Amino acid sequence: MPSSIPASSTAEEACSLDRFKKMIKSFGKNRYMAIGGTLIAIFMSLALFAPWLARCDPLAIDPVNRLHPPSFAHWMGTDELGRDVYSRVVFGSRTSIQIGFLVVFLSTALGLITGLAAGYFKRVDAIVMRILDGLMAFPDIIIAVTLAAVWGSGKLTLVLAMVTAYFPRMTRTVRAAAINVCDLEYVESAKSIGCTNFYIIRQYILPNSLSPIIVQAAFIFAAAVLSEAALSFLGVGIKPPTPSWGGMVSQGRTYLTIAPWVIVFPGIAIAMAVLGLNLLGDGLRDHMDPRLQF
Amino acid sequence: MSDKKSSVLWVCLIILLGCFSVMVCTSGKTLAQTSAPADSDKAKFGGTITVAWNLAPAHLDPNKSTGSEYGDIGYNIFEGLFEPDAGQVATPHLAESCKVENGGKTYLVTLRRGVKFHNGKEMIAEDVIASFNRWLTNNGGGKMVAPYFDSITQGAGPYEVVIRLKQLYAPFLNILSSNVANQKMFVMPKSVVEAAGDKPLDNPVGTGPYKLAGFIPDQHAKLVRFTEYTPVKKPSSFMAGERKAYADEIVYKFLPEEAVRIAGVQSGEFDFAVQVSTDQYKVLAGDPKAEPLIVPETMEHFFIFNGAQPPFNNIKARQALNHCLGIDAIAMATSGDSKFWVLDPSYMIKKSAWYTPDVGKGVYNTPNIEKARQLLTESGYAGTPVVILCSSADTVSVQAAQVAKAQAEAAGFKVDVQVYDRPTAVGIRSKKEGWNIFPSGFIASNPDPQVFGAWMGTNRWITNWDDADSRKMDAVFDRMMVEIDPSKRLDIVKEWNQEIYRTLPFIKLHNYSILHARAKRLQGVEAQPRIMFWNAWKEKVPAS
Repeated sequence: MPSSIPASSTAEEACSLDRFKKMIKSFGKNRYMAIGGTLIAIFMSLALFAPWLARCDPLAIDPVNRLHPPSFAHWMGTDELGRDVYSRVVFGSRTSIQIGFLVVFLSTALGLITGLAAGYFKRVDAIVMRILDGLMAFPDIIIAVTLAAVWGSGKLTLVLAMVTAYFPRMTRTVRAAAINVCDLEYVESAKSIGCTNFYIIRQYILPNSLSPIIVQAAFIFAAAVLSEAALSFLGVGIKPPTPSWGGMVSQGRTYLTIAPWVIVFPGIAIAMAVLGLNLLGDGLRDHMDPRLQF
Repeated sequence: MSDKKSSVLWVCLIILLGCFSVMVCTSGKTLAQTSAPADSDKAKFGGTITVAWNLAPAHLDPNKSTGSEYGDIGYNIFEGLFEPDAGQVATPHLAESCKVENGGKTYLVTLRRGVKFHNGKEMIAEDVIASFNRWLTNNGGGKMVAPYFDSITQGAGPYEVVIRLKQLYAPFLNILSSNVANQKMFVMPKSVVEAAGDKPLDNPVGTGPYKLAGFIPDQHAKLVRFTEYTPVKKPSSFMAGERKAYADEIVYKFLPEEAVRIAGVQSGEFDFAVQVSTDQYKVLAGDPKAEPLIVPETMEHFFIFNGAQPPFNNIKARQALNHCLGIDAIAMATSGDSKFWVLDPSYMIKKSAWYTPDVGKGVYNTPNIEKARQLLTESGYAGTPVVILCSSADTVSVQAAQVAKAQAEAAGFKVDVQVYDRPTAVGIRSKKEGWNIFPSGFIASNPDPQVFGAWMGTNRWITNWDDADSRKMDAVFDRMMVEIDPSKRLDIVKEWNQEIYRTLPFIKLHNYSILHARAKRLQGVEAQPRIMFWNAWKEKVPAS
């Protein structure tokens, strides 16, 4: 260990390393999180290393070899245009994960702004929550389908449609957490010594509301992956020929009886990704809920 | 996660993989042949024929749309003065006879007596006159005849009609009987025609073997046998001749999902499913309850350019795209096995008198990427994405668009394939902006090249084509329409074909067969470009 590093810093590092090891250990103990985390790690790797993992160009059309069953040349067979299903599933993970991340990021950002405002300021609460109650009266998928149909197909419109559908969930979560924290003594103390509202929200309310937000984000991620698949299946999602799991299921459904591999592999990918995200969300909830720590 | 939950999860996964394995193992069924034609002597009356139809019409007025879904159901309800036989010859149907006078400019049509409409009234000349006048102003075929039309009047009595033309119109009888693009002149009661005006019919009433008993858009149309129907006493031949209503009812169910249509025939819920993918041939051939019904070379596929927008308002860009396309690859990708498609540059099929196999040399199916790149550069293409607009219901077009995208991008085009539900796609293509190419299939067995006049030429149909070349095309069609000498007319047809390959207002792709799924218990359905259910019967009629 270099002698130039102060002893106190070394102790802190050792402490944080110890904490990290404990966290990993506790993750390992939580089977929800272990399975979910592994599945998500696999899909993240697929998305990140798609160009190296895919065996062919996912858009390369080869009509001579259409609807070929799984083989050494095409591990998951070929689709109706002779494209390699494995390569399309691998690249499809990019589409799903990109959309999932964007939806989670934008929904969380919007949910934080509206939720913190509603949870901290009583007057804002009445207005914001009535509007969001109206929005939440409709099923998420109906809102997403309607908006995607009106705005047209494409990745950006798909993301915006899903954000509109999912951010009210995040707002509710943030608001509930913020209301709980607002009543605590340290917030009262901060108010009494003249801290600004922005400072209180940033310094006290937001950090103490993070656990449910992270859990909710995981569930929104799962919902976004599933909705992307559903919207692409319905024809208002990702435009062909861009590979997307939902689009592959939609285009392949005609061939279910004669070439089931066209639909089964992207179907399994959707199921596993959503399962992984849900398990991870459940695991995070259990891990972060102090009531379940004992 | 509890152990119980974990076990359930693993069991589900194992079941999923098991199902997949079973499906893989059972996917390769043996090829079976379509059954022999049914024997009409064994025909039985009664029962309901349930048909799974792919497209849902918004109304049942064939005069108000060229879409096949608007005509097919109407064929059971309405009849024409003339109907095409198997050789596409216009044959008197509601007409008893027709005398052509005044050098082909006057048609003296004698009507059959005792023909009843579904409302119980007898068909007479005033009904034909009212129907004809509405057809002239509302139907695409009628609008083509209108410039040549002079008058229609009652003849010597209520069963005679005289149609006078201002000038000769060679395909007049063909267009009256045409089975394509809903051009046919259907006869309806005068009262129904007057009540409808220029709006779609609320109350479809005709003289056909079936009458409408219920229609719920997007769900179903129910037809029941018209007991007072008076058939033509001639052998049945395609749409001409005797029509027998064996079934008590025909129910058309509108089901855009192909898998649902096929599964319904296999399970016995439906008797017929229209337009399924040719890839399903093996599945149907190996099914104990169903059979494939192939209609050879029914359709021809086109890429239609929007001539109002760059880049395809420039002939060089159209030629560039043409040299990008490997049509055999498109045909293989969209129609599968080569027994379901054929490459043919002619716009009329082989059995037509107007077949022109020698046209399109050096243009049709001549992929040449280098030449395409050069032409694209010469066209001044700015790199704006070319929008290929497709209807999701038309899988052939969606797949063709994806293959074309790959081929065109190799030459430097940027292509954006946009797929919408049919009403949205039709709405977009009706505008001059927002699209560049619309792929579409058309019935190939046209009785006469006149039908192409509706969408080739200056600002016809959706092409938005308006330049010196389009006007030259108009002139060619004008000559073709008045030429009655077959040999001279064939020369004009060839000139028209060559003109298309020179100017490329659209690109012809391949001719392809249509596959339908028929329940084995349903007999008498003919493999024709339009599927009709008169003269068809069910072998086992369930007891009511």
